This record gives sequence, C-alpha cells and structure tokens, in this order.
Amino acid sequence: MALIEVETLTKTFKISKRREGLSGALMNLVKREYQFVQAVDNISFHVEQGETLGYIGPNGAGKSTTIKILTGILTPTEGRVEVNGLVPHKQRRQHVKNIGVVFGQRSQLWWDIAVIEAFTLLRDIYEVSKNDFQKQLKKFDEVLEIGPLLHIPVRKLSLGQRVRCDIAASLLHNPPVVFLDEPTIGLDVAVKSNIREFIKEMNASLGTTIILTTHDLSDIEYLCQRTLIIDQGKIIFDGDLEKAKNELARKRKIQIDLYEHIDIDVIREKLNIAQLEFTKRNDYSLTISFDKNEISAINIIQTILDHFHPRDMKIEEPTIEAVVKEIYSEDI
Amino acid sequence: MRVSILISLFVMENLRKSWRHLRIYIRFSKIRFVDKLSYRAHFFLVLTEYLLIVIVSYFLWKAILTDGRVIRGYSLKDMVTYVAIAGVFRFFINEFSGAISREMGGQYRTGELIMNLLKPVSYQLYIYFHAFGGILFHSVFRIVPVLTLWALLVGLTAPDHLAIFLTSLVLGALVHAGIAFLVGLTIFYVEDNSGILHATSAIIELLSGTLIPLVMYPAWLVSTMNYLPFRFIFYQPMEIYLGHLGKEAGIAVLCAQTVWVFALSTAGYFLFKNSIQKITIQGG
Amino acid sequence: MRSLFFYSKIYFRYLSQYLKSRLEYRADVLIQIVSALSAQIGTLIFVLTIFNHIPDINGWSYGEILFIYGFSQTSMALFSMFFSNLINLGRLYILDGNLDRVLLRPLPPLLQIIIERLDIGSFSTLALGFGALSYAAVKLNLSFSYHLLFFFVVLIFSAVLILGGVVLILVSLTFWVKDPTGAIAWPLMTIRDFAKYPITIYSAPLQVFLSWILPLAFTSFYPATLFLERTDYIFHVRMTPLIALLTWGIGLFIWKRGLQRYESAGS
Ligand SMILES: Nc1ncnc2c1ncn2[C@@H]1O[C@H](COP(=O)(O)OP(=O)(O)OP(=O)(O)O)[C@@H](O)[C@H]1O
Ligand SMILES: [Mg+2]
Repeated sequence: MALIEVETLTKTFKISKRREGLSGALMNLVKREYQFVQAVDNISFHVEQGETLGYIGPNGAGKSTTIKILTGILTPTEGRVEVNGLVPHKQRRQHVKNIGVVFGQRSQLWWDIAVIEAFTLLRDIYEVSKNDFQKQLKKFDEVLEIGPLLHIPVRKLSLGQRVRCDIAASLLHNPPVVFLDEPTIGLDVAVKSNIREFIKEMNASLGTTIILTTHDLSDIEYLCQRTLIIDQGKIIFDGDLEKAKNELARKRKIQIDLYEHIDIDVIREKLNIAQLEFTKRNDYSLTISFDKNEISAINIIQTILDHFHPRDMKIEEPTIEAVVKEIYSEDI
Repeated sequence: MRVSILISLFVMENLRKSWRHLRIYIRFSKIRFVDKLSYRAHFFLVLTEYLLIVIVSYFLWKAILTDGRVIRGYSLKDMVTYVAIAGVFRFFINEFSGAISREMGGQYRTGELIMNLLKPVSYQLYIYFHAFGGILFHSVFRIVPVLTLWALLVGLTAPDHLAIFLTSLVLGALVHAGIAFLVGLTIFYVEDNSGILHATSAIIELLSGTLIPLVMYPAWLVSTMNYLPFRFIFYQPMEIYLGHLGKEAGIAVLCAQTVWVFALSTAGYFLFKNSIQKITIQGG
Repeated sequence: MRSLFFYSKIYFRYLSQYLKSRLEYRADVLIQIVSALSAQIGTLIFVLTIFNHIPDINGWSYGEILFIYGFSQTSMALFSMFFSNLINLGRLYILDGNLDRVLLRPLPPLLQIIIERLDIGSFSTLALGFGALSYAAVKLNLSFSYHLLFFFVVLIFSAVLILGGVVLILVSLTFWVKDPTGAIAWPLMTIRDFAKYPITIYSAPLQVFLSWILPLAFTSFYPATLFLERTDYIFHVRMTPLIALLTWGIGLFIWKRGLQRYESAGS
C-alpha cells in the first residue's frame, strides 16, 4: 500500500453568478444563478514513502485544491483519499499530527504575535520536547536565517521573511509527510537555494515524503524525481520530467550569424535537407529548427562552416519551461 | 444687458461643471446602493432584525404607558409612532457608522485611502456620497416596507408639516455624516478604532433620541444637550413630525441644523487635511 | 485526565499570547474597555430614566427590572468574554478561509477559535452587570444562601451556554448561506434586547417564540425569577440547564455538518 493514495478524486465548487448593474442586483435578490467549477476532476495517483513529488500546472489548475483535500481541509465531492492509512477529512486531527503544511500564499501563523511566541505555542500544541525544539530552531536558523526575525510580530514581516517562518513552523514537529504549496514564493535567490538544499537533505536523511507545488520549474528540476502535471482539474502527465524533456523536446534550434548577407534559398540549397525550418532574424542572422532524432546538428554546422563565413553559432537546448509549455499546449 | 448675459453664461457654465462633478459623486452613491443589494441573506436578516427592534420597543412602551399614562407630553399613541420611526432610523445610524467611520478605517488600513486621495475628487464628499447610497437603499428597501407594515398592523400618526420634517431629516443626516466623518478620523491616531465606533454609535443612539425622547431625561441633561449637535439628528425632526413644535419653531430647527452641518463639515475638512499629513501607510 | 491538563495548558498559553499582543497597545485596551461600557449602558439609562416617571412596568418593580437586567448583562458579558470570537466565525474564519489554519492543527477547531480571542471590553460590562445585580439584590432585600449561590452559578453558566449555542447554530449556517458579510449572527446581538425585560410584557406568541424557538428568555428572565422569589416560572428555571445542553448539542451537530461543506477561500 502506498503512503498516499488518491483514487478518482473530484472536487466541485458551486459559485453563484452575479448579474451586472442595478437591475441585475435586484434580480440577484430574488433568484440566484449558479455555476459549477470542477477544480479537481477525477484524478488518481499514488505516492510512495520517501518520494518527492512535484505537482505543477497553470493558474487555477487545481493544485491547491488537491493539497487542501490531502491535508483534510476540504471534503472531496467524490473519490477516495488516504494518507498513511488515514482518511484526511474524516480522521483529521490524527492526520494533521503527521503532516507539515506550507501555503506560501497565506500564512498559517497567528497574525499578531511574535514569531518565537508562535513557535513555542506550536511546540506545546504538537508536544515537541524542549530539547528537540531547540535543535530544530538551530537547524532552521542555519538554513532559513530566521534568527533575526524571531521577535517581530508576523504581520510586520515581508513576504519572503514570512514564508521562511512559515516553513520553519510547519516542520517544527518533524512530520513524516510534508505538503508545500508554493513554498518559494517571494524568496530571494540565496534563501531559495538554501531551502532547496534543505528539502533535499530532509528527504534523504529522514525519508520525508514531500509533495511540492510551484511555478518555479527549476525547483522541480532540482528536487523531484517524479512530477504530476495538472490542467483544468485533470492530470495530463505523470512521470519523470527530465525524461519527458528528452522525449518531448525533440525540436532543436541553431542560431547562426554570418559575415555576409543571408540568402535563405542559397543556404537551403547547400544544406539540402528537407524538414528544416528557416527563420530569418535579420540580414546577418537566422535560426534553423529541426528534429534532433532525424537530423544531426553536426551535419548542419559542418555544411555551414564549409560554405559560409559564420561569425557565431549557438545551439539552443530546450528548457524545461518549453517542455512544460508543450505538454500544456498538447493537452489543449 | 451684456453684463446680465455674461453673468448668466457664467452661472450656466458653473452649473454644468458642478453637474458633472455631482454626477461623479452620485456614481459613488450608486456603487454603495448596488453593493448593498448583492448580499441577499443579509438583506432579509437585517430587515427582520429591525422589525424585531421596533417590536421590542413597542411592547416595552405599551407596558410603560398603560392606563393612559403620559410622560412629559408623550402618550402611548405618540410613542407607537416614535418607536417605529426610531427603530428604522437605526439603519441610518448603522449606515453612517459603517459607510463613513468604519469604511475610512478599512481604507486606511488597506492603503486604499491614499489611493483615493490621488483621484480628482474630494475625499470627504466621496465618503459622504458613498454613505448616501446606503441611506437611499435603506429608505427604499427597508424603511418604507417596515413602516408600511407597521402602519397597517399597529398604526402610525401622519406627520405635521411634512415638508419641514423631511427637510430636517435630510439636514439631520448631514449633521450625522459630519459627526461620523470626525469619528472616522480617529483611525489616524489609534491602532484599532472599532471600540470608539461602537461607543459613538451607542452615544448617538442615546443622545439623538432614538432610545428615549430626550425630554424624559433629567433636566440638567436636557439643558446640556441643547449645546450638542446630537439632538438635531433625530429628536428634533421627530418633534416636528409629532406636531410638538409649531411651524416657526420648526424653521428655527432647520436653521440651527444648517449651522451645525456647516460647522461639523468644516471641522472635518480641516482635521482631515491635518491628519493626512501625518499618515503612515500600513505595510501589507 | 492528561488531556484535560493538556487543554488547560494550551488554553492559558493562548490566553497569555493574546493578552500580550493586545497589551502592546495599551491606549487601545483602555478605549475598548470604556467603549464596551458605553455600548452596554443604554438599557440601564433607559431603565433609570423611565423609573423616574413611573412606579412599575407591568407589575415589575424598579429593583426587579434592574435584577433581570443585571442577570442578562452578566451572562452576556461572560458570553463575550469566552465566546466572542464565535460571532466572527462567519466572516473571519469560514468566508475568509482562516479556518484552513485552524483545521491544520491537531486541536478541536471550535476550541481553537474560541480561545484565539478574549474580549477585553467584556470585563467592564461584567462589572456593570454584576453591579446592577448586586445593587438590585440589596435594594430588594433578597435572601441569600449557599444553596442559592450554587443555583446562581449553574444558571449563569447555562445562560452563557445557551447564548453560545444559539450563536454557534446561526454562524454555522454560513456554510450553507454564503452571505459575503458573514453576519448571520449579528442580529442576535440586537434581538437579545428582548431578554433584558420581563417576558410578560410581550404578546403570547412572542413569549412562546422567545422561550421555545429562540430561547433568549432562558438567558435572563426565567433564571432571574428564581431569586426574585416568583414561583410561577419554576418549571422554566429547571429547564434552563437542559435547554443549554440542547442548544449546544444542536449547534455542534450543525457545525460538524457544515465543516464538510467548508470550501476554504480561492486565495
Ligand atoms: N473556495 C473556492 N470557491 C470556489 N471556487 C474555488 C475555490 N477554491 C478554488 N476554486 C476554483 O477552483 C479552481 C482551482 O483552484 P486552485 O486554487 O486549486 O488552483 P491552483 O492550481 O492552486 O492555482 P494557482 O497556481 O493559481 O495557485 C479555480 O478555478 C478556482 O477558481
Ligand atoms: Mg494555488
């Protein structure tokens, strides 16, 4: 049995539509119109203990909704969810003892009290021993540099500072399962890489199972062996994104700058390969796109070197962003 | 001849301009009006709430003024009308507190107040008109139904001097808006002014006469209140309504109200100017 | 036993946190205390003023009315002291999505919400209510015994629970009626005015309504009659603790059902 099991999960929201203007408002008073949004639409997946799962998708895809169901905040409309043998929304209090949750968009800390006070309150709630608590604090200070923030009320922190404190707060009790919904939002480069390192370390040394949503694909590239892509509530990809990159991104581009004026027809003739796409950038520069499984880049470069006077050449590797974009667009 | 044409042109031009301005301000009223309509459950809840308030006061006064008792000229018949109108008048008190004082606090906290200062309209007038939208809403959708129901079920006496009464009610609302604006300004000086808002609402209820006709208070309090603006909000218009004041006295009330409107709004204008100079925008 | 110890510890931890954060703004606390008083004092002034002119209301003397008022005010003050956050439940927690945070902690959600805030202003209204109560008791020359003291505690406690239960029922409806103002329970605060006076002044249907549908009469009038030595309502006095359990039971049931409909906020 997998640690997290999600079967045919669906969550529907009912939203009342507002009519416009004065007469619309009057109509609203009498009769409402509703609209249904399938935030999560019949999805299934399993996560094994110790996995780090990336969970990505465009805005409004249903990522946060899924996380809220997995953490027991929302009750699913249909389907089955189990985490660690517990049904989150039914055995919620037992369930939340074993998980850590960060919503980068929204703090889970008490607004008015100082960070350290919030931490000690959490220590008491989760019944963490004083010793462990001190150890954790020290560790978090190293990675997240929260030391100087401890005595400031949460509402006075900047976004990034607050997120750092939120991450620390959610991990104080050393939970075996961690849900991170956009945990790197608003963080500067240094802290971000610290956090990545930390998450990776936590996963390796403690075997923590992690589900991570983010819009920063480099987080995913660095941390996740497996990635789910969700769009409009449906899972459209489940697997290793690195592999997907190799499979899907077959399109390569070479950018070529010449000393002489470019005449595409001449170049096309010299190369003499069908299935090439030429795009002229300016009089001295053009881009050639091709399928890397059928044509070798070396061939093209060699031919160019033989017949023209190139000033510069550049092969563009497909980025992970391009791959994801491609997956999104294939789906549509 | 020429001069008079010039003058009339000038007047017309100015009227056109102020009409344009007024249209902008009326838009603020409309926003509030439509906004209030969009809360359906709330709409009916509050309607019930105020009907219930009127019912409590009605039974209370019925018990107090049994057997033809009269207190300081108020008979049960007067009070039946008085409590009905006082009850629905609480809408106004809430609206002014909500749409002016509390709204200013909210806008201050979110930084919207600063954004509004950048618009080419007077903030004070904008806030006033915002509240007037709500007032209009209450008048149409709450006061009229509640009073109609009351008139049919229990009975209402018709007003004496309707025109003077209505004018004094409008002026009373302006007095009230002036006070609410001043109260709203406290947000510049304390972290959380919701307590102050509650307290002033309570004080206004007591001193404007919505709870008890002011004459019933001890004599020293009655004479103190002659120097305060509160009685012009509700009590004086009601005295006109019930015919306790004649026509001349009624017009004197209108004059006094006008003076208060002017004084309070001017005070609001200068204090607001003063307050925004020490503004600190709250971080998000 | 352990859990009782645990919960009381947590309760006091929350409480001290809250007080610490409030006391940062000392002037505000003072203003809050004073303003809570002025907001509650209206009825008292009303009663004082009216009795300047007449000897009784519907056969109830000045002292008796004051006693009922005091009882109602005391239970209300204790209610706002402990349950004031329940009233914010609709807007602040259910609609704004702050319930997320509460649901993610391994403590009962209602408990967390209740202890996250303590209405400091209610200390002054408690003093006011209790003062009125004591003054009336002395004026009426009411008898005192430990027996009665015990009943007093039980009845006040029940009255507080009834208020809490009714508010819980109303705010839980926010899960169904998603009115964006989240103010379903607010009208109760004004409707409560009914309970400040002897229920006999109302017409019969209203009396039934205030006893058996919206049981506000059990939060002031009925329990107060026990001490005023009026024996007509002894049945109602005995019912008071039962009504308290019933309202809380219904409130908890609706709350639990509502939680399953919780939608968080789109954020
Ligand atoms: N409380 C709610 N009530 C109504 N609709 C909601 C609610 N929460 C989410 N939705 C809708 O469900 C869909 C999925 O939202 P969700 O927050 O899960 O997206 P997401 O993938 O987290 O997006 P983002 O990347 O922007 O955070 C959206 O269409 C959203 O409008
Ligand atoms: Mg999201």
